[in-house]
Formats: sequence, structure tokens, C-alpha cells
Amino acid sequence: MKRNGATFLAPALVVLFGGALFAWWTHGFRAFTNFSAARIAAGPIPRQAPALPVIDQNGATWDVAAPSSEFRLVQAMYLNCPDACPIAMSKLGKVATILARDAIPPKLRIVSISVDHDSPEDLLEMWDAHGAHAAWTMASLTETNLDPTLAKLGVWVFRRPDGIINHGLDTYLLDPTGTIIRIYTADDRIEDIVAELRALTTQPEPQPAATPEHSS
Amino acid sequence: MNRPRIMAIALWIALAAVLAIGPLDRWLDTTMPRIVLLQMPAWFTLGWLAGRKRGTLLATIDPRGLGSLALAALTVIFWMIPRSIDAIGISPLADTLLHISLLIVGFALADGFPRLPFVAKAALCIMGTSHVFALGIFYSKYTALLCGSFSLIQQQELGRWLLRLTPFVLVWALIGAFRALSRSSSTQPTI
Repeated sequence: MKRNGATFLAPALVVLFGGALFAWWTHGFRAFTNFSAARIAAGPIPRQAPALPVIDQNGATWDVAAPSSEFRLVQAMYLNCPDACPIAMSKLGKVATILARDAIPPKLRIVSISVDHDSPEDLLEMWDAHGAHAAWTMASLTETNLDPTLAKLGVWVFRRPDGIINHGLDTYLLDPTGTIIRIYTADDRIEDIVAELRALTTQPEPQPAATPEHSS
Repeated sequence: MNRPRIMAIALWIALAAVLAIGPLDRWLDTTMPRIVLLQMPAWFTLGWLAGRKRGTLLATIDPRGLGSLALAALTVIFWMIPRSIDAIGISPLADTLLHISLLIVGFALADGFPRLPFVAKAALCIMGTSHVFALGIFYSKYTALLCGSFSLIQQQELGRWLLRLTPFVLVWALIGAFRALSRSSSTQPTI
């Protein structure tokens, strides 16, 4: 018995300590990337989106998260991204194209928000390059310091030493009150996203939530 | 202490110093493949070299070497989490913790590995090889960025390197397993 105890005590202690460390570092085994950690740190959904004051490709200024008649599908983008963004933008473009086949639900607007201060001219060029969908807006935040706002939304942003900006590619669905009600990750299938968007945006007008911020 | 021993210790300290400070450490922290394929094995090897000739230093608290096995497995898994790889590149503290933890793991495994039952040695080799292969597939094929401070190109490059290395790891593991089998049959009781 003594020998068995000595044999397994050390590994048991290592596993216990290691398990506790893993649980702490991964927010309870839920966040294995900085992207998911930022999403979790921003709080559970549904929650009110932070104010997102932007200037779009047409030069118009507005708040993406303000109450309106539309659902908004919001994703961060970086115009000079060499790899991940073109794939994510292409996916978002496919969503817009599929929805446009039967006319995009009139209550839905897709918004790509730049993680940099891009000019309306640059945004317009990108909008044209991605099919110039009427229901797809490309915009830049007007605030000087963008990172805190993007962090409140749940977007991890890292400005690399070589000048490239890495950022989360989750897609946030805001209801007409400006509450984040869904978060789609890179692993979600386009067909599933489209089906859910169709179902949500064709439902009767939702009542504004009395307490949009969840405490759980 | 004889002269070769002193020379070996001096060489070990010099290697650790070169790896820990200065431009080499910064160079190693710059890309994912360098961190995973060069920096991690380098610090583990330094630890292994330090613990290799120590005999049974930890035998009292870890008589079968299972503690060192658990420590090695958990430490490697911890540092392979994308968030951890990011931290190595971003935070000097995390980088230093990586150095220290892998030194300790190398030391502990060098001490504990000879005491491990053959079954555990074989499991370590099989798990290690499959871990390298699975990570290779994952990193080379996944099209979204996992490590937020590096690039997708680096991520996929790391995956391809891991796949290239898998056959070598497998051969090395098999040789190690056969050597362990021959030793355990002559020196250790089986469990």
C-alpha cells in the first residue's frame, strides 16, 4: 500500500495542479485561443453591443449598434490582411449572395467594420471588389482608439510588429435593439447561418428588451 | 570534478545563456515554427542533458517515474494551446516561464524515464507521435487563424513541418521503445 501510494501521489498532484492551471488559463476549458478568450471576456449573450460609431463607404456616419429597424450582421475586417480576412470576407459574401437570391431579408444589414482607420474611398473599393451588395456595408470606426470598443464587442485585436493587424473573425448578429443575440464562428457552416438569418429576420418585430444586459 | 565534466557544465551554461538572452531568443520568438520546432525542443534537451546523469534524484517522491511523465505531458500540451503560443510571442514573462518549465520537464523526464514501466514508455512514444501527426494535420489544414499574434501562413507552415517530422518521430519512438523493452526485460520488473 505504501509503495502504491508513493507511486501515484506525485502524478496525482501533477494532474491536479495541471488541471487547475488549465482550467484557469482556458476560462474553464472554453477558451483555447485568444479569439475565444476575448469573446468570453466580453460577456455572455444576449448582451447589448457597445456603441459602434462608423463612417461607411458612402461617407455616411452612423452607429451600427444603435436601435433601428434592421438586424445587423457585424464582422471585423482588415483591408490589408494577407490571408484570413479574404477567406472570411468571401464567406460573408456568399451569405450575402445566397440571401440576395430571394432578395436579402429587408430587415438585415451586413456590416464589415475595419480594425484600422480606412477612408471611405478605400472602403468603397473593397465593397466593389466584393460584389457591391446593396445590403452589405463596409465601414471604419470613427473613434481614435479602436481596440477598447472592439474588445467590448468581443473581438481580439493584435497589432503585429510588421504592421499587420490580426483580429477575431467571429460574426455578431445584432437584433433591432442593438443586442447581440448570436455569435457565428469560423467553423459555422454558411448554409446554417443563412437558414438561421432567414428564420430570424422573417419573424415578427421583436419587442425591445427591458433588461438587455444579462448578469449570468 | 574532472576536466571534461567542467567543460560540459560550462558548455551547458553557455548554451542556456545564448538561448535565453539576446537576439537568438527574439529570433526564436518571432514565428510559430521557430517556437514549436526549435525553441521548445532546445529547452527540453537542455533540461534532459542536465538530468541525464543524475541517477535517481527524484526516486523517493516519484518511484515509478509517472510524475515526470504526467508533468511532461501536461506541460507540452499546455504550451501547445494556441493561447499559450501567442503568450510566448507577446509576453517576456510567458517566454521565460516556457524556458523554465521545459528545463524542469526535460530534467524530470531524464531522471524519471528510466524508471517508467515499459507500458508507460510505449504509451508516451505512441501518444507523442500521434500528437505530432494530429497537430500537423490540424495546423496545415485549418483555414482560420488560431494563434492571434502570428499569421495563417506560419500556422500552415508549422503544420506541414510537423507532418514532415512525423515519420522521424515514429522511427525515433520505435527505436526508443525497443531499447526500453530490452532494458526492462533485463533490469526492471514488469507491472
